[in-house]
Amino acid sequence: MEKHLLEIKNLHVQYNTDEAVVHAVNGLSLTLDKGEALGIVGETGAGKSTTALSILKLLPDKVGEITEGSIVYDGIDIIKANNHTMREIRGAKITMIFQDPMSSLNPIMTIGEQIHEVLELHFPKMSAAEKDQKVDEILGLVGIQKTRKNEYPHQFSGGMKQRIGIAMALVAEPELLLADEPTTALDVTIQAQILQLMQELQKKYNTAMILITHDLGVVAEFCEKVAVVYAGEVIEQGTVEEVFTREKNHPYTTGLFNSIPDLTSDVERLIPIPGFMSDPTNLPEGCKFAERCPHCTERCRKEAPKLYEDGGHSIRCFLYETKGGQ
Amino acid sequence: MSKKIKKKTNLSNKSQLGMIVFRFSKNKLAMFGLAVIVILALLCVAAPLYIDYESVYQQSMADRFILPCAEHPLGTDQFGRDLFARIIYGGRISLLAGLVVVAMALVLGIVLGGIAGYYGGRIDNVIMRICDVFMAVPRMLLSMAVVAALGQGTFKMLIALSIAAFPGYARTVRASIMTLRNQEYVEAAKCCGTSSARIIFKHVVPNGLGPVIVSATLGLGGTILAIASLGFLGIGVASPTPEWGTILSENRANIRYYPYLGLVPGMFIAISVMCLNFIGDGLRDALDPRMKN
Amino acid sequence: MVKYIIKRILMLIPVIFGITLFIYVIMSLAPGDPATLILGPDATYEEILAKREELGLNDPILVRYFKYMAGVLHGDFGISWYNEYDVMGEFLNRIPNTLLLGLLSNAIVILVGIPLGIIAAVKQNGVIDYCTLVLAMLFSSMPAFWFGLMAQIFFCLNLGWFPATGAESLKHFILPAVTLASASLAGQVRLTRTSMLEVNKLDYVRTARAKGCSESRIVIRHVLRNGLLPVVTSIGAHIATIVGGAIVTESVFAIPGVASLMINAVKIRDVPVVMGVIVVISVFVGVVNLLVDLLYAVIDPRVKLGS
Repeated sequence: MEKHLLEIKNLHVQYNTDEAVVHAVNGLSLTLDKGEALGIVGETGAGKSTTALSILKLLPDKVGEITEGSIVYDGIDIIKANNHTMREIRGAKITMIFQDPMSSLNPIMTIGEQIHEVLELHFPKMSAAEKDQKVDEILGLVGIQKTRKNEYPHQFSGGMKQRIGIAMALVAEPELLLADEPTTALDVTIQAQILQLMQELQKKYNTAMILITHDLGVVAEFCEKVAVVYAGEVIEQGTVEEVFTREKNHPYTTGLFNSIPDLTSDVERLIPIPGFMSDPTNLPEGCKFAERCPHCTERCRKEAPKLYEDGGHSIRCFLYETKGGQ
Repeated sequence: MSKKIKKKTNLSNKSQLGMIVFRFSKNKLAMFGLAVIVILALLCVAAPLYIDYESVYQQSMADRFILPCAEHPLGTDQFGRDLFARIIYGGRISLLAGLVVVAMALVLGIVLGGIAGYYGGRIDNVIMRICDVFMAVPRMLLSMAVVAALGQGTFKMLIALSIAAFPGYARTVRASIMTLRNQEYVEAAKCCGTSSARIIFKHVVPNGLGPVIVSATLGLGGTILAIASLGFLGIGVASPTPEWGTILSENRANIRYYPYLGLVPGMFIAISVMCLNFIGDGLRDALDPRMKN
Repeated sequence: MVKYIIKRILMLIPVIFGITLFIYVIMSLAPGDPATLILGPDATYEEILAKREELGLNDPILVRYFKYMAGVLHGDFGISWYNEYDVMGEFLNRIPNTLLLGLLSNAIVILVGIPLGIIAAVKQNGVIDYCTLVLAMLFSSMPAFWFGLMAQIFFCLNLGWFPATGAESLKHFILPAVTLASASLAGQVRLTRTSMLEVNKLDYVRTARAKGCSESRIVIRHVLRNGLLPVVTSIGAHIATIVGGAIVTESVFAIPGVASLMINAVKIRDVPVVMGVIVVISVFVGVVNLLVDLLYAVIDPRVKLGS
């Protein structure tokens, strides 16, 4: 079996709040190879960001807890890794672009300093001049004039701040980039620019990327593989081609497709998915989508389906049951 | 963003007020503070039932400096007066005076802050500049200056303290109203055709009142301290009327040899102020759970 | 910057006029004729009339007020009605004591309070955190004069470590400064702690973690500087608390400062002295607040002065 760059197996994460225990991720498994772009799709609260934060072990202190499973990055067991190892990974090997560029930059450090800090942390031997040059270079790549590096975040627009976030994430030329809804907080016109910029740089540095989004269109355009996440587990995964040809889909994925407008079909109204996602403090026993599923049977309510694989394409639904489910 | 989905399973069926009460009741310090204050207040209110009013003022040279004993639970002072009786009757004055000051300052603050926040513009500007004027000198100093002007006396002191305290409340009220006026949920409620009375009582009051109640509770503690300080300096409640600060001031010369004369009144002040602060903090957390950390 | 400072000073002027006018007017409207009070019950009618003339009490209130303020602008704060000393001269004698007391206690608040707050935040729920929490609650509830009295009896009279009263040497100021600092110190610790924890929850701190910063680097480079912003603002408020607290502290430790001058003046309604204290303190507080705002602008690039 070939070695993957990142392998997540049966990940369980929960948040222990004052009022209840929230099961955010429930047995999620993923693999990612070098240079590959994977899109994680799902609605708010599905556990997408939690998964990304778990990879960097940045879950909120004392509240977020990985209870089960493993995350192996390049042969390193992330869950068991000590702080020192994690610090060497963060910012250098695995980097992250956050959802809200407005609040993700330190307001009282210049943007140059903030990018520079990554180099200071991970390339202690690099000369000062070299670091400065690197900062200028990456600013150029993300389309910000290097003369502006002594300015503070509040002097930039939202799109510009996200460019700075990208510069910070890529200046150390990481192997894996986690992009957590990087364009959700931005204007639609800027979204495409930012995503294209990310894709260009990802290809340039041959960085693997996990793009978290709730937008299927974005995945189709920027990723090779896709994982659909529902209530903290992968319910469908495969290549973009396999999933988007829509020959075989999980009922939830079908629902997602039906709820986005499509210029080529004659459907006059969008069909929303009825109901709400299951309560993560009180998850159902069987299939977590059962309550909202048009194909739901008695069995779905009692027994949780496994991921049934067909080639590279796997779906967590009894409709596609084969012998060896995972 | 799939981060925290806070689900208040056991709270979801309670009203907003119910939830505030519930959260407050779970705060041990706040409940402790509330219990102590209630007991103290009851002791003070019921004082005439179990303490002979005479013993507050009755001087008896034969009974000077009796250490705490069964007959005099907290001992007696240099004039042979029962310290327990003086402290309990003093509590009536300290607590009541504190309440009166906060109430007067609050009324003035709510009216002025409400007008400023609601109308905005020039009226707001004028009122806020007036507040600036009264906040230009520290509260303690301003109250002293007003006492100097009005002359000494308990009621005059209360007025002085209210004048020094109201700008703070006016600002809090104004800020609350200003933020609420532009809140999206208020806009949303308007769009839904909700009546203005309902908007005011369902949305604005519960959300805007919070900071005011909290600052009033915390302000009550501060006011009791200020009254005691003025009493101690000899420009507040005048001896022989018992008030906690005044009692300390009376006994000042004898504290070295009879420490209980200093310890006890000070502890009554400290404990009641601390408990009021516990209640204030608890209310703040209960009203706005996000502020808790 | 210069423009902003000038603007702020110009804004301070009406505030100072407002507060002094308010105090002046209510003091003048108070019942009882000052001349009669000063001269006592034995004075003759002629003597009283002469005194009224001397004090300028025959002019309308506003005229008197503007005459007084004109004097103040020339550095003439008038003469005490009762003890006949020059108010400005007496101030100059006493201000060093009050300033020293204030500076010392403020230094304690800042130099002890901020580091303790940082430790409490870093070791959240640790021993120091709980200790400061309990002490903060105790000290902020205690009357400063009571704390001062108790400390005076214990450390000065019983242990004899410090002189109990007076202002002859620096040693005389240690206990008063600690007393004065006690209430603000605890608050400062809590404020620093809360502010640090608040900042620690923010997205950009998570960004810093994602970059691979060590915890100590996060505290020093990212949390501390941002967390100190509200702390700086609070220093302005502390000054006000300290001025108020100085009054009782000076009284407990018998320090001949401006505050104790005020207490006597209030008791006998000595208008020039009370007015003088109000003028000096309001200017002082206004200037301190201006300095705090300037400091804030220096450490927070988002603050634009003048807007």
